[in-house]
Formats: sequence, structure tokens, C-alpha cells
Amino acid sequence: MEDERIIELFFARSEQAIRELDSKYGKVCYSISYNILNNNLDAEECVNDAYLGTWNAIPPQKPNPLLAFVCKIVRNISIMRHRTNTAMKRNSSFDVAISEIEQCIAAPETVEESLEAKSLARIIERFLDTLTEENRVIFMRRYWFSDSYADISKLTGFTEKNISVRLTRIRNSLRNYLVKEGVLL
Amino acid sequence: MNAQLFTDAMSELNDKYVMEAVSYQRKSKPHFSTWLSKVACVFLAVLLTGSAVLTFSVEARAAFFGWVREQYENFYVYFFEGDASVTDPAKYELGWMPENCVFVTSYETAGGEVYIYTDERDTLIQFSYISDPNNENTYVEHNGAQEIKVTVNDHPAEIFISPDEDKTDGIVWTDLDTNTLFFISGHFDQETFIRMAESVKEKE
Repeated sequence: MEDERIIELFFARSEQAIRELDSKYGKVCYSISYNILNNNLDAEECVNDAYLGTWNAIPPQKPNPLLAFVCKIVRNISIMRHRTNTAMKRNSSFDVAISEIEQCIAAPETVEESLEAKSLARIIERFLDTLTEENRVIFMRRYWFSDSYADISKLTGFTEKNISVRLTRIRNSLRNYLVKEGVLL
Repeated sequence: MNAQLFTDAMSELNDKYVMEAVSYQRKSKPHFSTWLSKVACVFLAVLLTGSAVLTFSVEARAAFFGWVREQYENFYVYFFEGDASVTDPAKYELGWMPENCVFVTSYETAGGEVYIYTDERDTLIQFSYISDPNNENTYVEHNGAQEIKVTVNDHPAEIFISPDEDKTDGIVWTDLDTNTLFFISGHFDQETFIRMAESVKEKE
């Protein structure tokens, strides 16, 4: 079903909208959540919470693209669950990806106090614009979708080692870019 | 900056980056002839017959016997200083390479051989050597490449990491016992380069 039709169902307050949304994007939503939480039950709950969030947001919102809208909700809810569940064993793909990036962004001094997530997002966007399409996709799949190297390898056709080398270079480039932009001192 | 701020910032990225990543389709595989015609775009060692092609200062050569590297504009030239008497130059082959590498072709040069391989991403992978150093030079493009000194079976080696994603990286080393210069290029990490280099063996 077309996204526009699904959104029409949401506007008509038809529960069929949820079923169509799940049928079309359930797999990718679950994958995002599972990569963060590393737990089937938690992932399913977060996806369901995201559907509820989507139900409450549409209307009045009319997102385009719908997929990115739902994925963002799933990711945010899953990250919140991850942060609140402090007893959780930290071994998800998300944890591994974040530990990689922590080494890249670690600095003895930062301007963090004055930096908001939205401002940093704009800087990261400008950095992403400097990358090739393939490297941008690899970066996003790793640090937005929390995909494993094996998943990214399957998607892009590069070997896992090639993915590893590329991500190391991208992280180094990101660090240099953040220093140049005055985010890291 | 901490990981939470980074994660929050990632959540604020424009939808277009999410959509690009979620709808990405791998590029279709071009034919060998396509990438072979693009050899100028890769980080490639080129074997040159004789030494007449390049003219550069020879002051630094002094009285030296062995492989010498000199910088010439944006590439390094490897040439043999002295007269190496090689009557029956050995032939070499790779004993190991990543399993995704596929042999494409090979050919003899004036002083050695060149083997060309590729992988599922159509990377041009090259293994070459010069075992008769009186007949050839080789040059390696080094435009901004990071250089890492390593050893291959206790012989000195240099790994070149290209800053350009579209260009491959390379490792160059010399076997001091046989005065043979070896070169491998491709998209490999340091460990893989060294493993490939250390697997090189004389053909039976």
C-alpha cells in the first residue's frame, strides 16, 4: 500500500493503518529496535509503542517520508528504553557502535555545554555531505541503524574488513571535522 | 562530547540521510573491461622498463647497492642501484589472499611478473614483483598517502594508505636476500597486507 493511503487511514482513525504500517515497515522497525536493545521482547514492545506514537502523531502531522518518520520514533523509543534499563547487559550492536564513536569524539576539553543536539546534527549533516554516497550509507547504517559489520557488508557488497577500514577512516575524518568546526578542542 | 549527545544529534538528522541509508541499493557489478580501463584511478604501482623514462636527481644515489626509493613529484620511484647479477631470476606467487579475491590475469614484465585480481566490489588488486632488478623500475603514487613502516618476514616494508577512498592502498617491500622488490595493492587493512606479503613464495 502507498504511504499516502496509509496516512489517509491514520487520518480516518482506522486501525487498519497500524496493520498496513506493520506489514510494510515492521521488519525494518524491529531491526532498528533489536540492534539497540538486543532483546526480542523489548524490541517488539518498542515497535508497538512506536506505532502508538505514530497513531497519536498522525493527524495532525502528515509525514513525508513516512518510513523515516516511523524509524525515528522507533529509534528514539528504543534508545530511551535502553537508557532507562540500566540493569540491561550492554552487549547490543548499538553499544558496540557507540563505544566505537566514543573513542572518536572523546576529548579532554569540549564546548559541550554550549552545544545542543540540533546544532551538532547540522554539523554532522555538513560532514555527511562531504562523504561519498557509499561511505555516507555505511556511516548511517552503523551509527543510526546500529547495523553490524556483517549486515552492512551484506547491504553494500563490501567485505566486513573493508567496512571496518572505511568506518575507521570515516571516524577519523569526523573527528578532524569536529575539531575544525570547534566542537572538539 | 559524550555518546548521549552524539546519539541525540543523530536522532535530529534530516530524513534524507535516513532514507538514503534505508533505500540504498548496491551498485551493479561492471565488467572487468570497465575497471581495467580505469587503471589511472587506482593506487597502482607501474613497472617501467629501463630507467630512461624518468629523469631526476641522482646525487643521492652515492655508492650504494640495492633498492633505492626517490621521490619524484607525486610518486615514489623504486630503482635498483648497482649491478645485480641475476642469471636465473626466480618467479613468485601469493600463497594466501582473502577468499573473496578472484584471479583475472597475469603477465610477464622485463624483470618480473604482474598478477591482477579483483573482488566482489571490482577492486583492482595487484601483486607484482621485480626479481631481475637490472631491467625495471617501479613507481608508486603517494599523493597524501599515509606511510606506515612495517616488516615482512623481517624485511623492511612500507604500507601506503591512500586518503582517497576511490584509490587502493599498497605495500612495498624488498627481499634483501634475493634483491627482489614486491608490491601488493588493494583495499586491505594492515594485517591483511602483511599476511598476504608474508605468504609470497617462490614458484615450484
